[in-house]
Amino acid sequence: MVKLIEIIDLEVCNVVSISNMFENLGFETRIVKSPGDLANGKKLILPGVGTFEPASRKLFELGWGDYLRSNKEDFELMGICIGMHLLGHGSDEGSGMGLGFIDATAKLIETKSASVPHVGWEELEIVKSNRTLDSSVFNKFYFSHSYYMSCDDKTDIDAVFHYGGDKFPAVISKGNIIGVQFHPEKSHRYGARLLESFASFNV
Amino acid sequence: MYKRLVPVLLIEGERTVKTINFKDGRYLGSPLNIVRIFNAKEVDEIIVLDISATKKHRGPNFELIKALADECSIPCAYGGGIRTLEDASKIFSFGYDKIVMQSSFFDNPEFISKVASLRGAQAVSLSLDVIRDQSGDFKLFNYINREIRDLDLITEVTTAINLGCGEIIVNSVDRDGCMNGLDIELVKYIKKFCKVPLTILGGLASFEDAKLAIEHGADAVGGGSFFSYKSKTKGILISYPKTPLTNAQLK
Repeated sequence: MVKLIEIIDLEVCNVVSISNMFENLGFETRIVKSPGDLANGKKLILPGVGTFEPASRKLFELGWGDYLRSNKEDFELMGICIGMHLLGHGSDEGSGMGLGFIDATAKLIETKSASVPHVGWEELEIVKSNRTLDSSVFNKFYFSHSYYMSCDDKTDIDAVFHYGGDKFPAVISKGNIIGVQFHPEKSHRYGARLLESFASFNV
Repeated sequence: MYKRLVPVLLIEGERTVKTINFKDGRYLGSPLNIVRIFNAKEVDEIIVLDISATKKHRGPNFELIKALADECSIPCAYGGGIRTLEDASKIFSFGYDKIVMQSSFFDNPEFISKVASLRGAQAVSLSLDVIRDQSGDFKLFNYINREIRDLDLITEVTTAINLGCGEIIVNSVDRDGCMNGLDIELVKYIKKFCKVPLTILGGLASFEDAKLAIEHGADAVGGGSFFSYKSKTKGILISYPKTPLTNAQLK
């Protein structure tokens, strides 16, 4: 069965690489600008390249804030990078609200020695498996960010990465909501596998 | 923790070239083919630099760079001829993770903060070309007129970082295309003042060179010839090491 992946376009984010990767995996994709554009509304990607404030502003201006909050039980949603940060309550990067799906706030990475922004590939330490993340296989992903998700409830953290002598959340989830700090769309076969498993399970 | 080993593709018009000391670009092949090969080899990241755009007073070749991004399921960066926020936005919309600035920074440093405030520091890299003068001191080199810029290297690095630049890419002009090793002294010199990722480029000839630069503080190592030639005899063969660059290999 061909599944439809709908990718939310907040205009400040890059959607092309994500849609390319899903298409190469044989999934159908739609880029949706407002909730009215949704055909299915079952498998949603909230991507993010950019900074929190403009992304948050667009999220609410385009009607996504209200829509996603009101229909929370109807879809499976993956937030990527800034999209992950939008799942929480807010960010130290700038003003603006998040969706509040996960009790977390984005904070600046501060380490003694390592460079910030954090840019590069990391192997994950999987704390607990979720439907998208397979702990039995090698996982390596590309990160590019200065802020990380600080979770109030540590049980929402599924995987961490190590950087500058500290640990930071790489994957968080709560029910049908999942957030990844890295960029699966830029993580070739590892990213493709993650997106495929996200797309494949039934809602 | 992995460190990045990054092929840097120089393009002039529709051609991929490899220079020596920033001169005499030798034709390597079609950019599209080369990017396809690097993507298939799952390289850590790729940087595409159009070295003729600013020289010829033109903007980025959007058609070509879009086609290149479409081939990438890996991280990619683009630099060359980016002058406006519209240029930058267009390039990000193609799927590039970073834009690389040089001339636009020297002409208008504030341009960095404009892009960074919209896209984040991680999306803005500054490329600096460095040449050693007769006494071995590091000087900024202007590749457009091949003259030394009357500016202090560290001051410019600091200014760029304060404006929101998220990566410094430093390229040794004296070592470009020479495959005689990276300038480790340059890494050490800049690293002290650089809290954002530092990428060193110029002279890479072996995996050992890359490891040495990482040990001395580089966050990433770029190369051209090393990934393009079979050996120092320079038969063209696109290659990439199978072993990742990691901290585990470091002392």
